Amino acid sequence: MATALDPALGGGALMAAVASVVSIGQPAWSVRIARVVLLLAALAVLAWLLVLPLLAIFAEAFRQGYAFYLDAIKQPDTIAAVRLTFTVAAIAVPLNLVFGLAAAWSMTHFEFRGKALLGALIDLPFSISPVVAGMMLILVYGKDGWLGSWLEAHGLQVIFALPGLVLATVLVTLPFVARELIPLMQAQGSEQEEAALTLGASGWQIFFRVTLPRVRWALLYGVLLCNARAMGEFGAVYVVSGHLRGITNTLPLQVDQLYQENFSAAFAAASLLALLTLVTLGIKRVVEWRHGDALNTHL
Amino acid sequence: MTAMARHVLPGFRLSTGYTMLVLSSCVLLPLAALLWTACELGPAGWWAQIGTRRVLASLKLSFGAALLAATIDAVLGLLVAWVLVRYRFAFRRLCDALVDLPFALPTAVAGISLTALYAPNGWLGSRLAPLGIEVAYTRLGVLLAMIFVGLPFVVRTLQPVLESMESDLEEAAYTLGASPGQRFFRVLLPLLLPTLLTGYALALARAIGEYGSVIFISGNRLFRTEITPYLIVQKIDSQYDYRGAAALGAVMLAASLLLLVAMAWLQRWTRRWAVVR
Amino acid sequence: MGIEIYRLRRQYGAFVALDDVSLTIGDGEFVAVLGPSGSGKTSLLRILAGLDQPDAGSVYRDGQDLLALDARRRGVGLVFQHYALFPHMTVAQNVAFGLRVRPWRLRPKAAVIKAGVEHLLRQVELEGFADRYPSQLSGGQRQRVALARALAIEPRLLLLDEPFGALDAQVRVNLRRWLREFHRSLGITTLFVTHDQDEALEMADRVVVMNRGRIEQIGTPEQIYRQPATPFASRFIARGQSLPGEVRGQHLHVFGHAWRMENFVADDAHEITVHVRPEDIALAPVQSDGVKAQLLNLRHVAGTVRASLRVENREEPLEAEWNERDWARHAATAGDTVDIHLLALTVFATDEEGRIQARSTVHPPHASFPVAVGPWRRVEA
Repeated sequence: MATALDPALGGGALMAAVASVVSIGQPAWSVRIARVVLLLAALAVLAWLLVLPLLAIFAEAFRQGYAFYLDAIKQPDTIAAVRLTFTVAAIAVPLNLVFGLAAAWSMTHFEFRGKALLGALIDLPFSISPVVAGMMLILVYGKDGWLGSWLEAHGLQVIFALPGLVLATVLVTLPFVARELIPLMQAQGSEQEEAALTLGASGWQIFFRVTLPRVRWALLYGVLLCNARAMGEFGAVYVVSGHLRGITNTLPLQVDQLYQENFSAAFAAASLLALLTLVTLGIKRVVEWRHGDALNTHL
Repeated sequence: MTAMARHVLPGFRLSTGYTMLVLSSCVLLPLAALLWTACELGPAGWWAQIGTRRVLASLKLSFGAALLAATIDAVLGLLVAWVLVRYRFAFRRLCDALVDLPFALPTAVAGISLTALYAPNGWLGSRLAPLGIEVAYTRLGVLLAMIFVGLPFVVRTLQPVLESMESDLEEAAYTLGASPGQRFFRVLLPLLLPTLLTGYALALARAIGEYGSVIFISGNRLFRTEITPYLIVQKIDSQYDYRGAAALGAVMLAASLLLLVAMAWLQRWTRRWAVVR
Repeated sequence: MGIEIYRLRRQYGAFVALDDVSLTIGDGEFVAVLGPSGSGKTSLLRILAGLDQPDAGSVYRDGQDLLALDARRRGVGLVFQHYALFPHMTVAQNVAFGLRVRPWRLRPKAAVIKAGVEHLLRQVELEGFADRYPSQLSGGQRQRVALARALAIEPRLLLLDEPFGALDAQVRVNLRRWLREFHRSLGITTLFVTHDQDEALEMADRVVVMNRGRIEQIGTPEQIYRQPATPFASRFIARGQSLPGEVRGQHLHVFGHAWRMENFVADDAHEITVHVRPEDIALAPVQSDGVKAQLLNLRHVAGTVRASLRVENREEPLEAEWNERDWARHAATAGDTVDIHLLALTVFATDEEGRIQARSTVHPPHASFPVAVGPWRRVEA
């Protein structure tokens, strides 16, 4: 495993990095040495805290060879978990997309009593522990919960079923889209919407033709992060799912169960999620480079 | 009456109504249920749930480790943010992108990965064992996982502020004859402090509530490495003790709300300087 | 008939943005609303555009209640101060926006819209720019796109919010002239808001001077310059500077001189304000005949000479303006003490609440009789 890690840390890359720092300007030796020390320290932190765990996932996943890896991810339970994960995300992410747009429209175009409170409520799920979030949902939608008997009477099962998974996912990812949109739309102001209004546009026309095109990159950005979290959520989903293998196990829950039984299979499943993370971060970077100005400036 | 806002743009009712509907069903109603259940217990019943040795040990670990982890994150985060903003080096952008990893990596994946690394037979664990350092299945492991999840909060909070300060402030200090040390401690740190504290509070909130990354590496040993979220899950999952879980959840919730208030206050504090900047 | 604005009032919390504002705008008239920031002029504009509602008052257009129509159906073209062009649309798409968002029954055919946009762009002299994006245009060009976009909906009232506020001085002067001509060719009723006196006086048929939510004066530029109705209008438009003076009986006393005033009844006035304009301060041809003043400094600006004068009983220096030709006849330099004549003084008497009781313009005869106590001492330069 050590051999798998060493080249990636790349002595050559490191040397080049150090050299490029040293060559900036011609300050005193003490300053230059301080710079190199700081840089190396930061790189060491990143390598130790972030790169190592990432590499470890793939190293463990492939430890028993490609064939084993492919077998592991082709298990029916794992495939069912992947399917469920996509299903949950496919419902929860659009819900949060609409929520984010509605919340941002409301928060940035109007003044009303309780607006500050609304803003705080939108942010709240970020600071609630996912486990607590899941538990709160059980208290409302569970069998003995506030709405439990009503739901049962109508033949609806929320907890330990798909709706519960969606609800838990929506709850923990609620602020993602709104948080991206609100500061941006606040900075952009209402002037263009007002201009469209005086030109005779209806509410939906203003929204689709003026507002949406201007926030589309921030929206994509928010959706991307929301999706990553939705597919990877563990704590909240763990509490409400009941983790029935093949039925209410999402991929992260499947990883957890496999971890108790088959180490390498767990890492094979985990590698799928890690891959999703890397793709997400990649797209996120591209959006930031290409459209960074559309994310946080105003025209 | 005259102070009443007039809504000129359309869609106020629709957007605010939908927002409130989602917030009510997903946040407010569950929140109320939690508080209700916790209140039903009464102070004595609440203490009966909280005051056990197991729970107190977990609270001590959860909050203690989270405070320590956030502090370490503040230091490491400042270092990383500083280097990413101020220095130009090969693979800087890659390093910058990497910072988001703990945000985006599913917590369970991070958890098993850290465990594999630091387990006694793991790549790092086997090297640390001869030195007498045990990470996996100890409190040190809990701390490590919390540091991992909290790091991006500090870096991402600091970065924009560091960038906006760029170097003119420092240059001003430099022309006034300040040494590098003075420039950092007298000029930059005081300016960064509110932002640093905001990042600290965010990392702290995340660390306290963290579940997925911690439970694998902690090993969940009775009285020693059980974190509070783990106990909540235990109460729900195996004991169906929703009241006990709610009592614990109320404590965690109170802590997050306190942090939220502190952050709002910090943000107001930060805004004092926004004008000058 | 035009637009009739009657007793508008708008309050934000404790701040009164519009206080009992009434105004009639004739068909095809070009009216400027002039006032410092916070005077309520933008509130008035937003209410007319339908972006805000007044607390009280009414607005009628040709007998039709304008306030009952929402902004969308009001048919008012508004040009925003920062243009508010849609950055993701080309110039042509921006201009066509108001036509394209019409309900489909009222929407012109694509070809008609295209022709209309071309015509408008030709009118605002931007023919070749149809496919550019706003970010590729200069400030003056953006301004004209915003104008074309507002005109595309064939508004019956055009509102301009600080139309030149965001432009450089040179572009501003050219665009002013252009807009004046453009308005003449269109004949559309236009109201524009500005804090720049030159802009208002140079362009508008009539100027509405606003201060603290109230209309101070309505009149042609010449009327306001010649006969400012209030001390504010005098200060803001005619650059009136207040002098220490008082009215005793039928005489105005200023700087130890007294001049008779006709038809000025202000026995119970709370306050008397005396204003003099920079161009009404003349150098006395003969020394020891007038008010003593020390020349603090002189600035020569394009044919005029601006001077700061220190006079007794006034802390701030008095600003005077002469043309170069007149100045050349005097041999004074900075630091000299000179004699000045006040050619015209405007006197206002106001009551406790700041309302005007009486107003008069005094033209002191040059060889006036000094009532000073002691003999004037001749000061050698």
